[in-house]
Amino acid sequence: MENFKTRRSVIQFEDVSFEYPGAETESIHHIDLDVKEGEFLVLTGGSGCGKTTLTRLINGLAEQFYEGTMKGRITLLGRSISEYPLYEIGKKVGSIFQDPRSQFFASITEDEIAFGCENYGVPYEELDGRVSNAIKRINGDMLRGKEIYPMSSGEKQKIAVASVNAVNPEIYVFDEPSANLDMYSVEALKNLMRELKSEGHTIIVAEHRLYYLTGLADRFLYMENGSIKEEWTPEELLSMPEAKRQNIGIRAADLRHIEVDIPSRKETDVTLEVKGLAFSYRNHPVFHDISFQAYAGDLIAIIGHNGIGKTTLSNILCGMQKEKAGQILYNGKDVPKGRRKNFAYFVMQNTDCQLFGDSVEEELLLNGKGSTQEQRDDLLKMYGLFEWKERHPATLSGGQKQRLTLAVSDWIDTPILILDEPTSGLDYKNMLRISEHLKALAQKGKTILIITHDYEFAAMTCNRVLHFIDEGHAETFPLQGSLPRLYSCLMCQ
Amino acid sequence: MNIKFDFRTKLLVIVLTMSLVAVLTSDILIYTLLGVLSVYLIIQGFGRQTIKYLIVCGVFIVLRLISGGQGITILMPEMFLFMVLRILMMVMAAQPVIGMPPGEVVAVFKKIHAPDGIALPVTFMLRFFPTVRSEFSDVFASLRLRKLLSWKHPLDAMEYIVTPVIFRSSRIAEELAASAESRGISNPGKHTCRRKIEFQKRDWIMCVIAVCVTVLYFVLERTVA
Amino acid sequence: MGNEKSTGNKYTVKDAAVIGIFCAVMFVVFMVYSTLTGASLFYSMIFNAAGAALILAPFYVYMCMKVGKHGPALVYNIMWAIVAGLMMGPFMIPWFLGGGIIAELSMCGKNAYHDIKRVSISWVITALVRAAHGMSEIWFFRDAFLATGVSEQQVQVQTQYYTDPKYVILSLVVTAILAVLGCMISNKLIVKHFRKSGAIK
Repeated sequence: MENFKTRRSVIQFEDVSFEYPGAETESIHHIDLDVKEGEFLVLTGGSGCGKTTLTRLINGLAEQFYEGTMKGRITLLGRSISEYPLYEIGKKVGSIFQDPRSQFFASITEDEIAFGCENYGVPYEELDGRVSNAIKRINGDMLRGKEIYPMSSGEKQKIAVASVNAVNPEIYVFDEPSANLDMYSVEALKNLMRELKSEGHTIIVAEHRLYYLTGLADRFLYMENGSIKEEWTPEELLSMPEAKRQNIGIRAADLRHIEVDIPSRKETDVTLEVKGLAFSYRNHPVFHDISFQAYAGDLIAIIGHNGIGKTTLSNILCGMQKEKAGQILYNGKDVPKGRRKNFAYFVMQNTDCQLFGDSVEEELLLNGKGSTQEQRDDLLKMYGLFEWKERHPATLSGGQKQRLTLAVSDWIDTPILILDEPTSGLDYKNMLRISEHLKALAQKGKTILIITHDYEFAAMTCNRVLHFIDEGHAETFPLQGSLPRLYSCLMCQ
Repeated sequence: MNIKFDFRTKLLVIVLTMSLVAVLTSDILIYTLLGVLSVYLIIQGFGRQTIKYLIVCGVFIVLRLISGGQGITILMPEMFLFMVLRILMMVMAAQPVIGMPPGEVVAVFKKIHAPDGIALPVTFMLRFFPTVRSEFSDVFASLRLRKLLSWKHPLDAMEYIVTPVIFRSSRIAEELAASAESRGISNPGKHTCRRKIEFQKRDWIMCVIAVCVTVLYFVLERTVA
Repeated sequence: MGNEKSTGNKYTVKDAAVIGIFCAVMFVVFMVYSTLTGASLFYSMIFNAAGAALILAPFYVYMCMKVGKHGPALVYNIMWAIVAGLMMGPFMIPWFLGGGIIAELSMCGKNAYHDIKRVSISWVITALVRAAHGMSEIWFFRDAFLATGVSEQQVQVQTQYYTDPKYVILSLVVTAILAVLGCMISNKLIVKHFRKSGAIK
């Protein structure tokens, strides 16, 4: 490992505390931090530990965009950060945010990549060269001239990196960049980061998933309640005892060493049978001839690359979309589209669009007028939401919203439950909570289908895998004894 | 075919089309003008849209033939049919502007030095257009799954639809603005643009053709009428 | 715009984003609503604007209160002016622009954008401007239609719902009532959801 002690400091925090406007408590307090030139730093910790805020302090958004109050002093490249206007910081610190869907402006790849350079007045003659370079760097030749809106999250993320890259800042800040990516795209992101590091850029990443960073980072900082509690080298992180890792609640650093206890498959009643299902969108076939069976108590991971129709299948199963051909049998009976929602409930990925009440408790009441106070409280306690029951759902964190949508699905209680990426952006403890709870539901006889690209979660939770190989093929295999197969399915595209 | 014209050329065509539809009375002239506009759209690569427009226009032409100057019931008086056909033609003339890639619109706004107060919202608006539908459809899907939509309670339904859309839109606005700020959108210095907005030779040719066609139609209108 | 704190009344990128995105939402809702309610029916055009005044109100009110400073009413109308100018002819631009200026002027004074009554007034003005634009189209095409050989009287019969003061007033009154109703509903939503969640101060 390199010794950074002798290098120049690029970012220095001296006793920094920060509070968002209207917040009751400080988001981070008394942080001291010294980041050297060319260093790769990872900030980790549970949801709400303050790691995102720390990234926002470095890119200047915390003070100048979110308009919070900062105490202490941050020095960026030798000058106090408060002396820089926000647009000046942007030239030195490039930021890549969590949700790739909400950080692009232009509709075409090249326009988007040029966006930053245009704002900084890079001369016309230079623009095309910079854009081409940035595209080459992300290996994105096939993205040239394409519309961004229909792209996958992984591709959008690549373009976000390229757009920052074209401005060529010294420092890169990533806020949970892997949250919305599949494993294949995470691998691409990792390679990009490696290249940036080799060019001498300083990189700061706030992240839950650590497995892809162990070969890259120089230091891992563990945060809790707004302060930095521990610091590890990659070796220390990798050799951390499993019990300690789970206790402090961070995600696995090495995916090959996950301890799992895969529930055995019980061939009991077939609750769901799909026969020869086909679907096409505007005359483009999405899939055809898909068949599989699911049993009561099954926890099936649905995997397959982007656009293969995993979400479409879920929509068809719960009656939101109509299949082109094929049959769907619930408990052996063919159920028409209009009545499928009585059998299957689908928890979509976008939590904002699924919450309607003005408080957490009201959210449950909307679908359970006849429930008792006790029933509601129990359910909220089970999902760790009880203390927030008076809060407006919109004020919850991403993870809390995700749990609330799951609580609602419990409440509606259909025999089949389908989840779309229930763990994006969840820390270890919440992932574990959801995993345990889904297993408990399956024990009671529910059939649960989970669209996921989270290997750790799938390995901890599911007993079977439904793998969409291509348009006309899908295979199912039990997870018992075939974890490596799941891993390789998730890694290849 | 895919010829790109400058926005000034496109605006000229809109203005000329508008002045024509406002004075042309002869059906034959209107129908031939429809053909000319179709050619104008097709050479710019709007083939699909042209077909759609022509189908809608066709429906109205047929309706006019059926009505024979009397209008169809009280719901569609003759003047309505007369107007719709002409408004459709103006929309056709505007299609190349409506269909401009957002990057180019932004470039045009920079070129004409539009104030930030207008140019920035337009940038964000164009960015958000294609995603609005999917945001709403998620909300509707979720409402249907939870069986919360009911015609018996229209006010509740309105609340359930509107609230999540507003929250979501507001959050996207904030995240987009943060991303824009961190990439220097409020840099007070000169901004450049990778798309060059130029009035080229083909624009001159198109403008001359457009003016000639307009004059021709005016003359024909005089002689026919 | 970098120093937002010192210029609390200045229009920031965040404000531009809110206005732009809500305009996009309102345009899409309006287009879907217009196709659903059948803009093809001549007389529904009278009440098209009225219905729009109701269903677009929550978005407008939220947009105004979220930004909380001068600008949204004017910019929103300018957006309409641009789109209407392209789709229905440039003669629409001054119409909407004028409406926007009046709507913005109605918001003069401090904190008007946090006051539901003031926001409602500007929305009523905006809705009336839109309700009246159908009539301007009739005036525009009237001469050409007359020139095709129909009698003045026939045009009168066909356009009476637009030009007869009774119907014009009816249409405007209904629009104003629905716009106010829309703002009342919006205010409920603001209190119930957006103030509670802190999205609006």
